Amino acid sequence: MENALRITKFKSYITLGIFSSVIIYLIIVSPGFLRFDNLMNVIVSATFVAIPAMGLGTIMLSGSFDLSFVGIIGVVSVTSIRMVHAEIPIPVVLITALAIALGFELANAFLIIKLKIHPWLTTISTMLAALGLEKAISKAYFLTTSHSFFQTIRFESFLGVPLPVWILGLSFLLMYLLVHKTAFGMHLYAVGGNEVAARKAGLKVERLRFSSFAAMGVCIWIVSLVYLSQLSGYTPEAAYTNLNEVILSVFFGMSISRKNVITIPGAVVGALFVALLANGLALSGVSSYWIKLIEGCLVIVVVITNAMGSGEIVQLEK
Amino acid sequence: MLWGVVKLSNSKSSVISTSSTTSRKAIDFLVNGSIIIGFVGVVIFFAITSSSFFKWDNISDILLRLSITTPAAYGVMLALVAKGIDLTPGTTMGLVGITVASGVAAGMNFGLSILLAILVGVAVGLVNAFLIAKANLNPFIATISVLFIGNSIEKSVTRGGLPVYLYPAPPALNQIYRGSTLGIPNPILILIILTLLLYLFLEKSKYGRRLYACGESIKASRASGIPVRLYYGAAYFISALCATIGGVILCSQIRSGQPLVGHSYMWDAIGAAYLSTIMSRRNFRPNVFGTLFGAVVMATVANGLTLMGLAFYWKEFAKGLIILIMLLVSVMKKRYERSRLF
Repeated sequence: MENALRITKFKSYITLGIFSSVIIYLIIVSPGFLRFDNLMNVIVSATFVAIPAMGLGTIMLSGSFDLSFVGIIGVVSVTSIRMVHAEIPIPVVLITALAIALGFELANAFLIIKLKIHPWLTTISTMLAALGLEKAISKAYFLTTSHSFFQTIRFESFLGVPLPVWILGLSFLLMYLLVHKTAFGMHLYAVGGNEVAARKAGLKVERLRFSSFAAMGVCIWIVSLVYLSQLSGYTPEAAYTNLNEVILSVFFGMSISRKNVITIPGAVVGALFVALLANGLALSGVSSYWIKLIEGCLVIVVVITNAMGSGEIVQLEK
Repeated sequence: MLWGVVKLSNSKSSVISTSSTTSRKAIDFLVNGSIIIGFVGVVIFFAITSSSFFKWDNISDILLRLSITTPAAYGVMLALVAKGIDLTPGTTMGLVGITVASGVAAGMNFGLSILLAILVGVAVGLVNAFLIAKANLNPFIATISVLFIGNSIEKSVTRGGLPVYLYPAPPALNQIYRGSTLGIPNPILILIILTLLLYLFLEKSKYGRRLYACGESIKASRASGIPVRLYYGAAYFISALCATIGGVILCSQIRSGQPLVGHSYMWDAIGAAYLSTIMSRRNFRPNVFGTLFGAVVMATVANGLTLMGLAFYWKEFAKGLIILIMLLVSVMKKRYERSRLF
């Protein structure tokens, strides 16, 4: 037991060590890195990753997984743009967008929880279907919108801090309270830790796991607003290009936590690290493809450090 | 000793077959029958909606496309035998194509650039094998990370996605896809040889038996002295080699190295390999000929949808739904068999 705890601590030091040395190197190399407006830019770009990472973290701590959110973000965004183009009032657009996001996620949850299909396999096929649907709606074009609602989110700031940063802060606060300060969150951890024991203890396991997918639906809705405002539209597969970063953030948060569990602050810190890294590398003149490459390697490093101490090959289906 | 393991690993299915042979046979008949009837129905539908579907040109097109999809599908099948998954065949195909094309474009000898491409495939296979069999990563996480890394390598070396064209292509490269030996087109010949080799390896050699045994039970295999990690690694390694073959044929077809070109083949490969597990009459056992049939189904559907004039995104949507339906069928079948067993 003590040994296991020591390994876990050692792991969190490895991950933190790697990342802080990278960041310190970047601060030395690129002088503009620590300026206020650059840091705000970093946080805004972290929003794309951090909000889905919180949702993914919630699903993963209840013992499941979701890849399809990248497609669902696309479907929600392009549908919203089409509705804005048809001059449907913004409140109706927002409510429809939320309904679509929740509908897709609950369909995932139904397949995974009720029909008991493997979560990875389910969501990789729903991801493909949703990506296809997204491009079918947008005809694979870059749809743009310059509606004042999205322009406000993009350009206005409150107390000197841009609105997307407020969106990130508020959704972090909500998710943090939900997962770490309520009985609901504790129950989610219980379900993810030992489903049989949780069932024996009288928890409504299926309802809890369904609500973790619903939380992801809400996160998708929020982040699609950020996409629509920051891009002034939606490029095809924009969210898909961030899938790797989202997975990296969640696992990064897991490896810096003392108990080696997924936490909401961990996921957000992970997203901030990823954004800082990308920003710093871009400032020092590295091309975006190499940044993706480095991030891909980091996923493997972080996941390997997480798997340290477990001694068996993983089989998907028993 | 070894046969003991195989017997042990198959004991589950033999229990099922002795307890309820007739109902098991019935459900197999029902599932396989409806898949075949569905396939025939789809073919008839395509034949009615598009007049060119049954033209010889189109059928030979499907067959030639098969020679590219099927090696990748065999790779996914091997990963399924090891109770994992391989999402990298598409990436491997792209990397291999770019290597061959850039090698030839840089004035390198054709044989040498093929050798380099094989080395690239070997590298992907070794990385996958290390991550899954040695570092105990979840095969999904490991191969999806390798997929992302490979995609960004493809984009970086082609300066953001510029294809490497080979006009005119060297005659040897042209021969791979367009030439024929003894009246059989070369890609089909390669496919037949690969199918036979894999069949002999998986079904007739002791190594294949051991691989299936490892997939069924790690503990039992280890107890009987099989080097389990070696076999798991080998599954992913051979998978990458299969994808390399597909990549070379693809490069010869399009006479260029294009980044991210293998992406759509990956989904066909996954669908084909899953179809073989559903249609298997022995406990969801991935197998060579089932995968070949699956590849035929996926290639025919893709071809028919194209002939109907559907855009690529609708094909993506349809493939996602097809894979999802396959997963549903497999879960239903599993649940039915368990309810019979207990």
